[in-house]
Amino acid sequence: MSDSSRVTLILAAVTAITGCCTLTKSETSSRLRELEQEHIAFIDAYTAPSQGSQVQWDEANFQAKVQTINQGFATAASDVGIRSCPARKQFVENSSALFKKDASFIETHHSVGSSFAEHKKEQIRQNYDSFLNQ
Amino acid sequence: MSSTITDKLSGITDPALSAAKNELTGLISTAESDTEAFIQANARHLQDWLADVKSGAMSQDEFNELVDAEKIVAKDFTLRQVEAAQERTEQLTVQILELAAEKIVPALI
Repeated sequence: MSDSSRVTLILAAVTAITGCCTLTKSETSSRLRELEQEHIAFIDAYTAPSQGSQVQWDEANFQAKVQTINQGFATAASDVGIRSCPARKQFVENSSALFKKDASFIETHHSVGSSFAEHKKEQIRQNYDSFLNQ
Repeated sequence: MSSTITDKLSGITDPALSAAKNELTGLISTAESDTEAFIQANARHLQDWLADVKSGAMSQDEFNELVDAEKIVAKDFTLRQVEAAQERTEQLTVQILELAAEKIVPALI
């Protein structure tokens, strides 16, 4: 192997190990913001319009929504800019767990109240902001 | 803001809960004056949730769900703080020492 090839190989390895966290930051931030919006839209979809009312329950539609969002988290977790950076990988795993927790809560209750929904959306934003703005 | 949390808890008159009430009030007061925005927000959220449970706008189930989720968010934030603190400590100790030894001192001599 020539010296220049060796240097190129070493640089590529160093970039792969240490550089991805900074090199792909803006792209990853956009992807994470999409996940945040999908989670918030999911909460909106199951928020009762008024106190004591319920959202019309459609099990198949609910399962389809959950599957789509879970797939979004799985795709993000396999993205090179995320899986190569331990902090991002951990954050996506935690955010995915938070979504699954909310989906399970809604599956049990079929809808949530407007106060809860507002607090929940604030919590989701807090989670993503605390990570992306650090 | 402490008087607000005291007001929210004023309906609890069981003497057995007096110590817990005082502890919560004190911790919220401390958190509100912390310099970390995440800690302040956490204390503010908890007070909002308590107010909504007290007024009947939110059920205990919903409150517990928010608390459980907030614990996950806060633990993740805490872990990141540890990493950031370690990075900062290393930058302010080891890197300073290396910079002084490798770049500055050779130029002084």
